Amino acid sequence: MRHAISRSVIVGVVIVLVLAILGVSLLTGWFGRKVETAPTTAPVTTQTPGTTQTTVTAESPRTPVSTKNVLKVAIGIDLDTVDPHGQTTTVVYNVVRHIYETLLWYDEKGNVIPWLAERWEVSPDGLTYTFYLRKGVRFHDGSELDAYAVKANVDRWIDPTVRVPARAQLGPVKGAEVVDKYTVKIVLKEPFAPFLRALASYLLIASPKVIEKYGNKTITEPVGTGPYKFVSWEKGKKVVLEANEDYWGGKPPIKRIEWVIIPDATTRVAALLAGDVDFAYNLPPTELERIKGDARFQVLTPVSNRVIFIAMLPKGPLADPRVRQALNYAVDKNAIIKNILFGLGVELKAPVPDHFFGFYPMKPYPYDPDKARKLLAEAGYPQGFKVVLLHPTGRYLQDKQVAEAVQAYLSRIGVQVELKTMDWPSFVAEITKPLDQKTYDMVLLGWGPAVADAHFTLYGQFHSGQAPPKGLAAAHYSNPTVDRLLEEAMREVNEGKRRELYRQAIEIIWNDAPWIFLYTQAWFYAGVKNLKGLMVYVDGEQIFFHKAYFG
Amino acid sequence: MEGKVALLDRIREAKRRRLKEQWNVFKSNRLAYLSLFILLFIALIAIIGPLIAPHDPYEFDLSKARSPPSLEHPLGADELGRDILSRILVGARYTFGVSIVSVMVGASIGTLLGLISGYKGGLWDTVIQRVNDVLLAFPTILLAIALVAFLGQGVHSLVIAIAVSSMPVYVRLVRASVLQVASEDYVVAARMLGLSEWRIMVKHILPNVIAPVIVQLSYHMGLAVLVASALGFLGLGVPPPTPEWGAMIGSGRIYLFSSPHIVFFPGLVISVTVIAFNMVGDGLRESLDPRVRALLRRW
Amino acid sequence: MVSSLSTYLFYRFLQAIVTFFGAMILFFFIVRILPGDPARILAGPEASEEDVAKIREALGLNKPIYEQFFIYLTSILRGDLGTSIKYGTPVVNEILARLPYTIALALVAEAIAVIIAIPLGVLAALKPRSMLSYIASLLSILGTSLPVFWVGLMLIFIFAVELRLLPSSGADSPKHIILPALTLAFFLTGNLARMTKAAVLEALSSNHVVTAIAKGLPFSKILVRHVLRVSLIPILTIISLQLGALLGGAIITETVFAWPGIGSLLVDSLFYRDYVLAQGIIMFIVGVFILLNLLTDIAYALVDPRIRDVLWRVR
Repeated sequence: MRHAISRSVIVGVVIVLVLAILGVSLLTGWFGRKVETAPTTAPVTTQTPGTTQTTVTAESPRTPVSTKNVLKVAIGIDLDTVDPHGQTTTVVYNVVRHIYETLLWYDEKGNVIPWLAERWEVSPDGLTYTFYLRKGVRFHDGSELDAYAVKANVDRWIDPTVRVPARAQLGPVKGAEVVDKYTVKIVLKEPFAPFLRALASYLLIASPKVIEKYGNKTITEPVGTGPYKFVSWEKGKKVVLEANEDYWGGKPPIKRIEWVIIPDATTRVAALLAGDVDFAYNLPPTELERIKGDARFQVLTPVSNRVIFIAMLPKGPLADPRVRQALNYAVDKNAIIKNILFGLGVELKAPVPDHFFGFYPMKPYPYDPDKARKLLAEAGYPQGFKVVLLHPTGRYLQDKQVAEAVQAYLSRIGVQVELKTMDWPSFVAEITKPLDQKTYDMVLLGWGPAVADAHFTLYGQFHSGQAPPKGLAAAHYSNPTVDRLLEEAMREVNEGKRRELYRQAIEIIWNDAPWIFLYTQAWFYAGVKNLKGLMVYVDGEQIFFHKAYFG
Repeated sequence: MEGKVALLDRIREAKRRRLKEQWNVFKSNRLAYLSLFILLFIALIAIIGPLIAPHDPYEFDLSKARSPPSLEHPLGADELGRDILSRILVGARYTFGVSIVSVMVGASIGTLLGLISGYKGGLWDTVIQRVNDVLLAFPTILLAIALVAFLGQGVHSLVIAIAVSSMPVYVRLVRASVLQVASEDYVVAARMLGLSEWRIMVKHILPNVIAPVIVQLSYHMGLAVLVASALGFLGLGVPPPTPEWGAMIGSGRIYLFSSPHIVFFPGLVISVTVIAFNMVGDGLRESLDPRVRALLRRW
Repeated sequence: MVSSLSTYLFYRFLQAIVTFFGAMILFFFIVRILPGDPARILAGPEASEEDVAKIREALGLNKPIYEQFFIYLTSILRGDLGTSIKYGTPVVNEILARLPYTIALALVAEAIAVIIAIPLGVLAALKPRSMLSYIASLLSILGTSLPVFWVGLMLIFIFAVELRLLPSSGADSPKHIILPALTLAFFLTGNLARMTKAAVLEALSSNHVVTAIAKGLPFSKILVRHVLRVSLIPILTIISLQLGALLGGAIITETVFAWPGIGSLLVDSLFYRDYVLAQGIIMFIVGVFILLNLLTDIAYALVDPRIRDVLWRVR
């Protein structure tokens, strides 16, 4: 008995001691668990770069002084990679785009403007683009931006042994040629009309030294020419950037940006309200009114490049265009935008957003359930029918709620919808299956290309060659006229002719109604009122802080 | 002959008295007693819910979305303008039903396995125990996610997921009790009499190990409601627009601060149900354990 | 008859290893059978099929599943937990980077729970039909029936937004641990208090206590020497179970408070079908869980030789 007492006491004490030691050692090793730190190559501080003659770089002659030196921004997902050519996620791109830059960029209205390249020329056959680079631009590690650096980046982009998920988006690039130190040519295999826009969106330029160091492995040291330098990345916690004092476009007013990772949207709201962050991304639309009414904050609700739609597979009753049109009449899109999206959406008048190059407005399908029923009866389904609607959850703003609303509207005209959802990887696996293996009839999807050009949406979604599993054309739409129109438009360099081609394609697609055309999504950002100089990117999904300051 | 009948009578009488004593101890725990009625009430709602609901739980009206409680919608309307009161009334059968069925299934299989494992011992025991350990070590949510990914979304997945994840506890519980009971005299006697193993397990061992199982059952059903609600929250529960309480909380989560009534009322009924299950469990535990019962009788 | 403690321990240890490997095998196959292609996830929806295929090859995912398993097994035995598909860094690094946060949160939350729940449970057991006992029961049950995210968000809004006393999220300083720990403790306390009350009630009604009362020993002495000592075992069991569960189960709390623990890392890795990372984390969690069980069983065996006997005989 006595042994038992002392034994159990000993065991208990040992356990407690072990836990205590563990606890203490962990708590003392608490602060600053930085996983990655800045690259060890010291930046060379030479004179500030000169030449800023013709260019429309939209910089103010005198950079304002910021009353605060540190900007804290709350974002919802952690970075996955800092490799300039391995970017797939918009938010991550937003962060690293402060470190890296592209040859061309966009202004706030969406026009392509010179950036690292001062000017350019296009050959008449549309195959050769010549870029004249800005002189005196240096990377954060001191190396100079020149034609060789650009070539190194292009070579890496087209190198099949390097992991470049967005490779095909830049178009059919053959390679780059150095003409002289500050002149580089990029040659295409075929004409690609949206090339300049693609270049402005995709090809981030990294230091040639880093490219050489990493070869075809993933780059983990971000060294670019941008207004901010990489300091550290504590995975799952935050990314810290520091102002590049020698930035060619002028030193940014804010010294330090901390991108804080807060996965829960409501917690981001709380962080903003509590003053723990100065700016927050992707807030829940339910808080829109409350924050708008709060005098301490400013609200941004830019429209994005992302269209949300329900793609209908051409099988069963949905193979009949009248049925598809009926479903378009049956759903009250404006009510959805108003009540479910809290106004964060713009009704679609074409399969592409209003601000895209190539957009042409069609007459939207009004909410008319009677007409819908009539069309169904005409097509031979007066009693309605059953369908399965697949939708993601948490991927797009209120996606689940929108799917439920659509289900409810369709039930009113006799169409019974069974909702099916899965997590994102399973969802992607499901929608990339060939048509005969698909287990659903309609799918709620969003499509937001990085480039505001109709090609990227129309071709990707309505060209018959892009049907899964080859591509992601969700509706498996197939129309030879449309195919031809889209292929021509892709190669047509004359803007007027391109627009006409897209107009024709849009008309056909709109009337064929392979989608229930819903809306273009808008986003909801908020920040403290005295944060000025924000640049809202043309895709509506990114904010740039290189000219931001606290007033 | 007469003696035998009298003996049987006396046994029956003793059993009745014991049952009455257990009931009295249970009643003396006023919270438990009250909770029992609450559970019965909820069960009633589960049965007649659709009959007394003022609105069709599926009928929506976007113009009324998220409206706060009013005369027309006593508990307010949800994000699609559906009446919350009606949805709660009709949803009772899904939440309550799922939790009861899934836990019963898990408990039954678990008890059976525990009986076999504890009584037969040897290889049976080793195999069952190892598999059980693996199942126990797995986080429930993970198991549920995997199951739903395999079997697809729906009530069946939910029930299986909860059943499978609740089973290991019963295996352990029953096995421990069986080990204690198996060495008792009456069991040894039964074996010597040559009774079949099954008979011994069911007629002699089972009644004596069932008490902790019943107690655990009641806690577990409360837990099952929460798991179903967590899964509904993750989008893995019953498919919309089914008004399952957990799914209602999951859908209503983002409206937590702007239109709290959407989450509050289903959350309230879930809490009350879980509390009631747990209180009853506490009461059962006190009344079924003879030593504790004796203690409470005196106090 | 039973030879020694050491035989029991040895056997128990073997069991633990078997269970561990069983869990590992189970998980390996389950996760890979789930629909979804990590190469495609990594590449993003816009990537071409060829690029996806290249990624798949680089990750060794196009080999038959048995071959993948064999490779995995051999690397485990070498102590290498593999390389994360998503991050490209060793799994061990990813886990170790976030582990301290999880452990710290678990310990603090459990400590709060213990400090509140045990006295509460003991008092409730000593006066089972009193108002105090009912209130204690009700409060403790409240812990298990409120949704986690609700409690967490409410705490954030009250203490961080309205009162500005504490930070709303993140893990930069000791102050940051308070709210998430409180949120978790809310749930732990309920369970622990209830179990404590039950254990103490049972101890009170056990033979030695009844004898001790009959013998006329002073009650406080009975309480400490007999009652508490006996109920210590089940209470310790619960605590170790709770700690084990906290390792991987604080996912919602971690998400709401942006607490960089391994629970949310696990969910993320599943989301990206990062098999290797997910497997590594699960193995860790399961491993610790099994270890905790083992320790508790050892404690049991040390204290009560009869249990050892029974278990040995049945084998």
